[in-house]
Amino acid sequence: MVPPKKQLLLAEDDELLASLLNFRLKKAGYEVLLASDGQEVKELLKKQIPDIIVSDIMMPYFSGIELIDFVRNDLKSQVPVIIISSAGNEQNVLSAFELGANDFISKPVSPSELLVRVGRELNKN
Amino acid sequence: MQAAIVPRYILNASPFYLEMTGYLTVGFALIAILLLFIVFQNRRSHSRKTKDTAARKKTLAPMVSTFLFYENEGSKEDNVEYVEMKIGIREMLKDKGNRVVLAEILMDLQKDISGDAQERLLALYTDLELHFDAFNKLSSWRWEIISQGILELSRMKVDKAYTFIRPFVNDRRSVIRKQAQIATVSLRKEGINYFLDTAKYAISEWQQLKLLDIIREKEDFTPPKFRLWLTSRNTDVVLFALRLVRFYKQTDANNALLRLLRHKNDQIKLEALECIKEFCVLESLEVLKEIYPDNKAEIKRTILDTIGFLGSEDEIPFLEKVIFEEKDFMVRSKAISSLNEIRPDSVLPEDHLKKPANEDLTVETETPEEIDDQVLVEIEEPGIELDTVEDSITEDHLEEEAVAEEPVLEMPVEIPIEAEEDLEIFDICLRESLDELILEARESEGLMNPRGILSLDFLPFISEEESSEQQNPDLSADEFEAIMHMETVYEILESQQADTSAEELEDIPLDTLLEPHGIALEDNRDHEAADVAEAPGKGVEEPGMVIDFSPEPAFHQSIFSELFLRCDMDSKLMLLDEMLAVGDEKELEYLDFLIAEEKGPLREKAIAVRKKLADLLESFPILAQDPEAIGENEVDESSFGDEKYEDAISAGGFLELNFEPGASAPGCNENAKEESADTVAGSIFNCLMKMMK
Repeated sequence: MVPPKKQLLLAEDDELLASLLNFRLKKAGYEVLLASDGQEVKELLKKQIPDIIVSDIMMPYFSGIELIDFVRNDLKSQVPVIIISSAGNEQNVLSAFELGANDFISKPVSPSELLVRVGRELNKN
Repeated sequence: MQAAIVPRYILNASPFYLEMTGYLTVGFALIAILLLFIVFQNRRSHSRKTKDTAARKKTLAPMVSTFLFYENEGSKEDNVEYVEMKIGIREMLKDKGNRVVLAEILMDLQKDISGDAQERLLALYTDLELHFDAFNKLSSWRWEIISQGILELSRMKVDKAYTFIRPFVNDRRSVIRKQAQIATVSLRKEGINYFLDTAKYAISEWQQLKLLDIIREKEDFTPPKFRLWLTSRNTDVVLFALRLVRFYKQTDANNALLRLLRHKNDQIKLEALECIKEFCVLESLEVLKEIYPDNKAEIKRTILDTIGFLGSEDEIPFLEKVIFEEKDFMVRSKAISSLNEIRPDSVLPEDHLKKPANEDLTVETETPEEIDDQVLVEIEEPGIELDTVEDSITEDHLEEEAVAEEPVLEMPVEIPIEAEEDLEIFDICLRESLDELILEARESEGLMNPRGILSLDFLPFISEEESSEQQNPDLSADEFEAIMHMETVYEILESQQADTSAEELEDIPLDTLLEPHGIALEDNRDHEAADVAEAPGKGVEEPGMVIDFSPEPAFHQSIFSELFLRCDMDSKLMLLDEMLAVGDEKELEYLDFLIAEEKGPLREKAIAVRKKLADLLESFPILAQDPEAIGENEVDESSFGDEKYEDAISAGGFLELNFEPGASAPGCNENAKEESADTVAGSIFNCLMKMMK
């Protein structure tokens, strides 16, 4: 019996990067839910909680930090969250970790590295 | 009816053509409509283009993803799909629009992804021959197109483009020039050499920073010897080369750096100075001193800073000269800080300091005679507290003196710094001595007799508890061991002192001379005072404890022995005068020593003083050895004069502190004691004032 695919929510406002990562993650065997802004992420999360969330820190309407706060404090969920942040944005990364982010990866993103980090977070649970 | 008066200028006005207004209105309306149409058309075209681009991107982006993450190990269907897609994309790229969009996609992704995916992306860019479009852009006549082409080629790391971009390094259009410089340096390692060799135009600070950033992030980059460009005729190249020399810490450019200190350009001088400071080029010190006068204030400050950092004691005369001669206060201030850096605390802050409250006794402000008079008057007047001594040396004097003593930074030129420090140390010691005297006088207010005369019974005195504690026959073995150890320390100190030469003694601070040098267990048989304090029945075996505060055991009883150590000849002669006023048998001993050791006028004066003092002591015999007299005296005139003291005497075993000049000599009558008190207080002040003077 084939094990069910892990569901991954990818929140990224850059369409090209989102498309590229989506392609790579799907190729790696994940079921990817794609969201291009914070509002969309919130609606998706109200419907269902994925196995892992990969979110850009800077998004329209609803930033990555607010997303973590929402997940941890409003939804009371301990789903792993990986933050994508541009280099030199250490303060935001620290805030994200304080609010409960599990890991972060800096831009420019290496798709291979992202896969490793996603796999590691999922294996922790 | 009366006709209305019409002004002449209305009658003479030219006729108004109403039709003309209509034509103008129509004309402007048409122009407005035309403009609106053009704007509308532009927006429509732009949005259509955006939509078209978005649609093309939607089609092309997944294809790019497929190309980037294609692996040969996939299934057969995947491989077939990949080949078909490759054929399809080549067909699509025949359309120029698709080529532009694809180049945009790859440019966008290039900055968002890293690692293996980025390398594949760059390879895809050249595989699809998109770089030819960029090359075509380089031949455009429009600067923005050329710039765009250079940017694209440098971002997509097209190595072949290096030779095509290189000529633009000295383009007269600054945007193209700057883009080409960045591309040249980033595309190949030798790009920086070419750029520094050929740069004709100015290189902005921002551009230098960007270039440095590119070089710094280059992998496996071996920096060339940047000193080779310190001879460039382009001052910006020299400046940039200096910064690179400093960044890569290339210390082989010292000679060139020394030459550049004489450059006409101040920025180059500053940068050269920074390098010299960082590389600690000690040979530069002479050049720095030589070029110093010909420079502006900012350069002078940097030179002084460098001298302070690199210099040694040899540079102090130069710095002192600068402090003395320089008019610019910032430069002078830098010279002082450099001087302090070479020799710390050479110049201490003196401006804008508040006078501490306890500096009321700034004795320098008054002549010794004035203070003497004041002290004597205050003491003679009954019921007046000794505080008035402090108050009488008033703020008026201090203020006047503060004005007179306004810090003068030129001081180091007039007075040697070491001598000034000695004076300061002596001043502090003197003040402490005075404070102690006054403090003791205050504490002994209770000891003052009804006439307000300062009793000398406040002088060190051991209570019964302490003495009995010291004499405790049940003293443990450890305690005896500790005491014996203390004696050993004393001996060591004494032996060290014996080895000390007269010059070394001069260097001993006064404080240390006044400190106890050890605690010794002294045989009672050797000391009369101990005999007095000896408890009956305890026997001579039990030693009395003597804390010796004297610097030399031979003259530990005379206070003058300490003062003589630090005096010049005049002061010694003056001290001899005072010895007559306050001296007793201890001073006789000390005078004997002086007569034996000294020569010349000091010896003659010592002989005369000894004779007079001996006569004086004969006419006023001191009954120091009568314990009963002590007891009576204390009971009568001091707050310590209670039964405890008598018990202490009868119990024996004194802890004797023998740094007193014997002013508390028991048995003196009241008049003699009054006189003695006045004289002692006045004389000590007098002595100290004269010493200070």
